[in-house]
Amino acid sequence: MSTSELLIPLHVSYIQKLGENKDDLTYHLTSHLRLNAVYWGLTALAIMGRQDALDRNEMIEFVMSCWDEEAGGFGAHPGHDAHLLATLSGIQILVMQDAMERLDVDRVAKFILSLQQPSGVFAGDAYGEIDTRFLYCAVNALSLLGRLGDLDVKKTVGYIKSCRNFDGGFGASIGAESHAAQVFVCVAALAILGRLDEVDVDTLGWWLAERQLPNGGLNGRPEKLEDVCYSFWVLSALSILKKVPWIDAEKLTAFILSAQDPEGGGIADRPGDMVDVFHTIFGVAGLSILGYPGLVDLDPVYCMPAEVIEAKGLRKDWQALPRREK
Amino acid sequence: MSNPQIILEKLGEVLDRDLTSIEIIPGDWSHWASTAASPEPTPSSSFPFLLVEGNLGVPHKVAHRLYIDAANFPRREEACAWDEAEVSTVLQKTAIILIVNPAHQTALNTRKTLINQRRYAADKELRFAELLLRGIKACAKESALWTHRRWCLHYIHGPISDHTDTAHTPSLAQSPLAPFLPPEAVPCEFATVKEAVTIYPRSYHAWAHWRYVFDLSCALIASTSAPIEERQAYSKVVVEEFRGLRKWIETHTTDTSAVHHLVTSLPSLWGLTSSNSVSSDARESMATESSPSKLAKEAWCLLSAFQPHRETNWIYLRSLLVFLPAEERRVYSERMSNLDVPWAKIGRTYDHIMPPLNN
Repeated sequence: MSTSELLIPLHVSYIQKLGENKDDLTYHLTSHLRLNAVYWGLTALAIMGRQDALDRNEMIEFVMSCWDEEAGGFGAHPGHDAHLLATLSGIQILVMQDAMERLDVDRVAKFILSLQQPSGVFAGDAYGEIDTRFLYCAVNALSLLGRLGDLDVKKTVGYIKSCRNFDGGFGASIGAESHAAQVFVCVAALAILGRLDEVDVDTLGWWLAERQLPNGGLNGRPEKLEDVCYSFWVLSALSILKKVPWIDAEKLTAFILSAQDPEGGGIADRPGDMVDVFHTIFGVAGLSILGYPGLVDLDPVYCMPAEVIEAKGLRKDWQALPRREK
Repeated sequence: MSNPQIILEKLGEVLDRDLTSIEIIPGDWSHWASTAASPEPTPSSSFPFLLVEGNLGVPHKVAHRLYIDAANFPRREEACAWDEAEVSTVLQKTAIILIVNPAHQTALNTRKTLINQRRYAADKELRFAELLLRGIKACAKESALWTHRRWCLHYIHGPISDHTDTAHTPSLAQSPLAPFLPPEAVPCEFATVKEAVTIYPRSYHAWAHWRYVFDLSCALIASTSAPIEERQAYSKVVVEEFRGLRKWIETHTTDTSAVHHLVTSLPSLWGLTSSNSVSSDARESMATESSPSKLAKEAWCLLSAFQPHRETNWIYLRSLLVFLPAEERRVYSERMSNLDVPWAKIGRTYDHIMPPLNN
């Protein structure tokens, strides 16, 4: 089967089959990010117009089975410790499945806010790893919960500002080098907080555009290899900055499509490698931002269907490429 | 393979020894059966590991089989009720989990719980983390493991904030779990980073750890509350490390991470060259090593030496321009504009974003 077009039925089937074999080594090796994986799979299906392909009730029950009653947040898997990464994914799934009544909003908001450090950054859990990823998770989650008003916005923005580098990019922490994924989380958090004035749009836009390699793929830092997941991290940041036309959309589209598995479905980090659900969602998300025909609009700030975010009144001023006709 | 629990116990016994390295090696134990190194046992179904002069190799297939058995370890909330045998079992199971999957947060947290309960020694965990970071690619790149290492350092040495005012060094103040390091502990951290970025080039979190240790060392050199012999020890390490970083960049011409950390460390070094808490010899060494003109000359040599030109060398020189006197900046800018490179936008100087000198 050709990879010159997005093989939607195959990708839907690939996602449906994930987790079927619970004895599989891969299943055990990925338990520490299971809830994230469910969110990735659900969002990919939603963008392909097939959210119905997975059982809603079963999914909601799985999310709730990951609730860590002691901490007041979600872990990645039943029996795993609560963490901001899993907590955001849990909330995103419940929002997309219209099942927020299952959530103790006060408790989870308290858990999230308890992880903010005096410097403004967020730790991922009580053991203290800090990273701007976790700051984004907190801001995104509080926004979806309608509890952004409880956040110390000035302190949060102040920390993001201190992670800005001379190249316009942002790192995981103060002093860390610019990295496209960290750029996304910082820019998206600033978008949610209404503080994109802290971004040097031209300098950062240029740095992001420079991530495109001759083969059309995007990398995350200078001199690194292309990887499909940067189709989301880079493109979403460019979309928030309204600079998506600064990259060659046709070449990137071709690159993403070339990383599909034309037999079993799914998308890999680059052509010929093994597929996984992480690269599948971010490949599909990238194609949506690029206006690929037949896909549903993705909100690049929240990485969720745009319609869902608009219904909550949370849409920010971003710009994707127009959806092309089939 | 024999009973997994018995194998995990054997692994636990080996990990209790003073190992030199830990690696995941290809295949199964049977592929290594002819590699015997007396007095260590030959790899077999009852001892499916390769152990040679303190270097432990865990065959890939053995690791994966053990992982499935280890995956359901007891929850740490029950840890207070565990007897010594159960503690050992949990440590064995979480050890093999982390050898294969260092991102398993719950496994890391469980080991921290046992350290907090004083049922497992933090210095043993520090050594275990060091061996993983130095020996296994997936470990060298894993942020959770580098943070786990700093957590252990914090447990052993206490917070940096007890030793110096971190208000002027944001990278030290950003986390309340930022550990202090006595001068004798610093070289091991730098060495661990270097090995990690050798087995996994450009490891983002390894370099972030380097940056933490470097900033800590500079802050303690400047701290008048630190004993003078300690400040001298930190000074020696900082000068050697910065010199080593310059050499690293010369021999790793695509390592933009190293370039970033060298360039962004310059203001810290320059601050020390005017500090009375540093000996005059150390001040002179620091000034020599961190001379912008000297660095720019090296960067230009690298940039012009390679065809096609390397993006990293371009970024290196580009980021130094703002620190140069106007005439030098003009000369290099002109040379760069005459190069045939795909990266444009030479007009931007980043002046409005760079921190002021002597900050």
